[in-house]
Amino acid sequence: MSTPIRIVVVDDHILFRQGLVGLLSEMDGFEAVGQAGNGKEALIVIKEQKPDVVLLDVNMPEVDGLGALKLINEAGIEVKVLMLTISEKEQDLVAAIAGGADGYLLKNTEPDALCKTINDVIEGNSVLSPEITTQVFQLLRRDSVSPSNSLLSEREIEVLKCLAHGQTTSQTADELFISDNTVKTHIRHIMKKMGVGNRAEAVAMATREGWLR
Amino acid sequence: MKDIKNTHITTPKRVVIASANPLFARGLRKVYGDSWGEKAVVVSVSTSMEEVLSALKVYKPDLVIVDHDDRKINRETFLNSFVASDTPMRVVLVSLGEVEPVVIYDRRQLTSKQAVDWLIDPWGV
Repeated sequence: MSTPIRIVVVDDHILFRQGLVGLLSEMDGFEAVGQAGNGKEALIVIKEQKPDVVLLDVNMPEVDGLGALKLINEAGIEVKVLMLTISEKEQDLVAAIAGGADGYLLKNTEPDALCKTINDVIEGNSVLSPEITTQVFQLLRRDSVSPSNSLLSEREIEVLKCLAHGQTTSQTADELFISDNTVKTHIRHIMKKMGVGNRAEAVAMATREGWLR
Repeated sequence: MKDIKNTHITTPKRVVIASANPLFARGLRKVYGDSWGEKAVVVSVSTSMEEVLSALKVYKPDLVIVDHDDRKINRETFLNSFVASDTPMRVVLVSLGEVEPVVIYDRRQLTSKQAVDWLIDPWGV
């Protein structure tokens, strides 16, 4: 008999939370080891119980789900986090994915689908609700038409790509057929536009935002 | 021969759960079904307005727990139907979209925690 997946349920809706804990208790392969009503309480329970998976609501008092996700990451806790929410807001979805959530599931999910998603997440997959998947596709299509990197010019992106490949100012100048001074000017403009203090920060931020693909 | 005059038979209370959210509906059914034991039976889990209204007519429940999401199950539509009906029953109005308030049939407003306690034994049996 395999070890059950240990789960902590975090939700301020007490009826939903207790129901979910009850439901998990009757499902094979799962064990609800704790519950919390907000992100602050959640961190304490997670540290105590060391679960495999956290089912995390987004909208909660004191510390919300996104705040809790940040706290979990900052504490270096290794746990799979599956957002389980009623929120279909784009900003919540984007913030959760960017914050490192392993999945984003809507509460209208069927119990069987929740079980499958938990297992998928445990296996290292990232999972989204079908409704949310459509939203993500729309988001990506929209961003491909109006890219986030419109902050920088095409030339500045080219300069950043050279820097990301570890090239020096001179090497960048040679590759782009411009002078060293022009490269330096581009870098100054890039840092100013991005609000960063040095080249490394600019490269890191651009990489993170996907501007260098 | 058994004296049936002193035999006390309690008919289980009939409960309808109305929610378009399967996790919520089945969670409530599990938790409170266990808690109520033989005192009550969940006769229907309705996932749409049509199903709720039909369940009210067919089962004439003692208790209805309504999770109104205003998409599939509309609060006002349910309340209009409830007011028009003369079947004695208790109603818990709750929404997965809002933590508070949980509204009970007689217009008392409880916190979620109070509602949880109340639901353990709604009939005071």
